[in-house]
Amino acid sequence: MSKQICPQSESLVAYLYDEADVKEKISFERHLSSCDSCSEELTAFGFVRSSVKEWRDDLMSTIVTKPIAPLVTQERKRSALVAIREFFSLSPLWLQGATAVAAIALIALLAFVALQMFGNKNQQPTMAEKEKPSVVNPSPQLPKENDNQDEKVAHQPEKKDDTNIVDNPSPKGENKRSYKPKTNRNTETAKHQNKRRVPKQQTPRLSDEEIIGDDVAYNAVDDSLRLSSLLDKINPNNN
Amino acid sequence: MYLSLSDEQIVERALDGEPEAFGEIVRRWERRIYALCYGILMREEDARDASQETFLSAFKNLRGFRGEAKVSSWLHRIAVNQCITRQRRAKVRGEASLDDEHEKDEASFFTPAMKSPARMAEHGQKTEAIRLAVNSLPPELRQVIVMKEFEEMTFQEIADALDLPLSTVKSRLYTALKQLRMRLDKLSLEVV
Repeated sequence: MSKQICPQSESLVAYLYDEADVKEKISFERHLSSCDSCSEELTAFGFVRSSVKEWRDDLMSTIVTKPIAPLVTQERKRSALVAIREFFSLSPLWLQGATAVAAIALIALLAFVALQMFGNKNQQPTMAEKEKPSVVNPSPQLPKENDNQDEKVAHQPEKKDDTNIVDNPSPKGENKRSYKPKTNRNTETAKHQNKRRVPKQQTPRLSDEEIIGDDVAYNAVDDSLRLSSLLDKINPNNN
Repeated sequence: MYLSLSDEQIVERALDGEPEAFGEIVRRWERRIYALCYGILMREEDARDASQETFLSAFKNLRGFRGEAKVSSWLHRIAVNQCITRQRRAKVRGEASLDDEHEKDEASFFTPAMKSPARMAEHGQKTEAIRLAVNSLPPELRQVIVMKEFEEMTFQEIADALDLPLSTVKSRLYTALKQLRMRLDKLSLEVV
């Protein structure tokens, strides 16, 4: 193998592939007779070419069983997903990073919007809150009042005002009548619950604490009555 | 129906409202184009995809064919461009690229224990050795040798397809042949 490249290398290639014109061909044939390097290379390249052609023929014989034509028609039906995938395969790293950041920002924005909406919903009275007053304090006026008033009433029990309880001992029958116009199932349920929970005094109850306070108040009244009658019996001259 | 027509006549028919005529072009050239793509890309799957893309691209751009060159040259040019695009994609993706494979094959050439010529001959793997030799060439050399040996394209056609000067094509071919000879010599494949 020659170590130096002969200046006639391009002519050698043209001659090898039979693409040299007549003038170049004659000129190179003259050169060949005097250049052992080119002569040796020409022979060696001939073997290389035959080897490559052997491989090519071998390859071509395997292609016969794999025609491309049907696949070309299938290719025309390729989805947009493939096109997107190809787009991303071509996109550089910075573009992929920017896409990822944009996606994260979008998700964060959506989460923020959802949180805002959820927060607003929490500020509005829930159905449970609306139901609570009718259960706890089924006074005759309540069904006619709006939601805000219901809320106020719902918070009343926290005051633990005994006068409220004494002033508001509406009888059972009245309660029933006042509830009639309202066809709400929840209030109906509340009535049934009241029926079960209202003690013998027929006093509507606000809460457990209220119930306890209520009982104590009534007991105190009863006790005072008994005491006064007892005193009357002992000292009838007091009157 | 289109068998008696030349490629250029078939393209004319396709342009005149007979798109099915292009099917004949595909049938005529699919194997050659596949072989060209395989010779450059050295991977069956990539070669098949590149071949399909070549014909699809040709069909889509049929109106861009001016008839100045032969249909075959036009197709070869598209195919080579497809292969080059694929090689670039592989580089961008950073996947096990074609160049990596090229380097792997090149490394395997200089590992005598792995690719003993005698053993390869015993197993009838001479063609595999040649494939490895071609694959071990740098892409720019592989392109010209495949276009010349597989497709028997003229120097001018290769120059047009690769957008290179004629002298560059000749010098690349010379270098490719020289490197192939060296690699095949290492395998003692009866190359002088």
